[in-house]
Amino acid sequence: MTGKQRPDRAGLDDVLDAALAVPPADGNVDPRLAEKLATIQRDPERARKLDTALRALAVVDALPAPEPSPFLARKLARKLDDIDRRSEFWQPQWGAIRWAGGLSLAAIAVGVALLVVPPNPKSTFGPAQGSIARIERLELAEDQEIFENLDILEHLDVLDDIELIESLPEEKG
Amino acid sequence: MAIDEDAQRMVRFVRTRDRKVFEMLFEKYERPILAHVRRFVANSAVAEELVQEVFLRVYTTKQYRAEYKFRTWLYRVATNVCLNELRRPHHGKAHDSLDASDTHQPELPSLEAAPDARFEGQELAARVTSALERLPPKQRAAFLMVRHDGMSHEEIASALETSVSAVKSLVHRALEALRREVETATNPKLPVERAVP
Repeated sequence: MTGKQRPDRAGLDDVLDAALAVPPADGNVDPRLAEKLATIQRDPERARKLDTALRALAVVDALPAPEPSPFLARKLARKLDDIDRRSEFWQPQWGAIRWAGGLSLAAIAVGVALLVVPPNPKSTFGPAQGSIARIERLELAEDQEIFENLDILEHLDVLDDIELIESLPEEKG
Repeated sequence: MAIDEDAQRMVRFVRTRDRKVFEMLFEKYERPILAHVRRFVANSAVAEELVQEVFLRVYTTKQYRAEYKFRTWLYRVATNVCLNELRRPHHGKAHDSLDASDTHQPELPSLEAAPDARFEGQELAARVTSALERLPPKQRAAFLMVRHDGMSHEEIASALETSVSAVKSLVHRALEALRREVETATNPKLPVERAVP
């Protein structure tokens, strides 16, 4: 192949590929790679491309890595301490304190609610509604008592007296 | 598949919450993660904040799947933290008032401190470094993960949450942008071309 090497479909270029395969330091170059480099260098245009790519890589390879500041580890340690302290609260030995705190908060919330919201007589949950319910319960109990008495009468074979049975609700009324 | 040593440490840490185990991992990866983060953000103060964020996420992790290499997982966490930072609308503005020069002129590694002097001159080195800083963050990250960290394309793909072919493409485009910078520096008659994101 002569002249310009067209990049393949992925946009890759064999000259750049070869340059990237050259190890960063003065390491050993693979014989197959050395052969490939020699082939590229036979073409002046591709040789120039390879040379510029290798020079760019040499600059990049020589860049030193940034040094972390001495404060980085210390600042992180402080943040980790904070996290540990917060998570310690959820450990089992703090359970009693958590319960006590939770109950205190609940008691305070109930107290505040009673102070802030006075009982409303018109409310469906208020005393008026409660009285009606109580009356209804009493009536029900009374009815039950009557029917229990009926059962007893039935056992005593006095159910023939229908008038008696009919008179019972009237008495109630 | 064999679980790597650091993945085992991480599993142990998640189980025991032993701070010493975490500190071992931090000491080992503090520098490479800082270097990785600095590839995304030019400001060193922001980079250190992000490194803290990365390790806080590691520290508070409740579940860890040991089938992946710890390094790959950690780089992925770091990449996510960096990309989140870059997406934030105020990224790069917060520190302007504190250290304007830091943001406007990205902190480049000292060229005088470079031990290897294979390149021709300071000017060329400065141009290449500047071109590197201008690359899109993912492109720069992928390229430097190959060159500096010696990571495989598969590892980088996993860390950047992209495909292997996308990583290869990112690396090639980065090198092509830098190569053109060298070409322009050595032959000023050539037109200057910008890096393709």
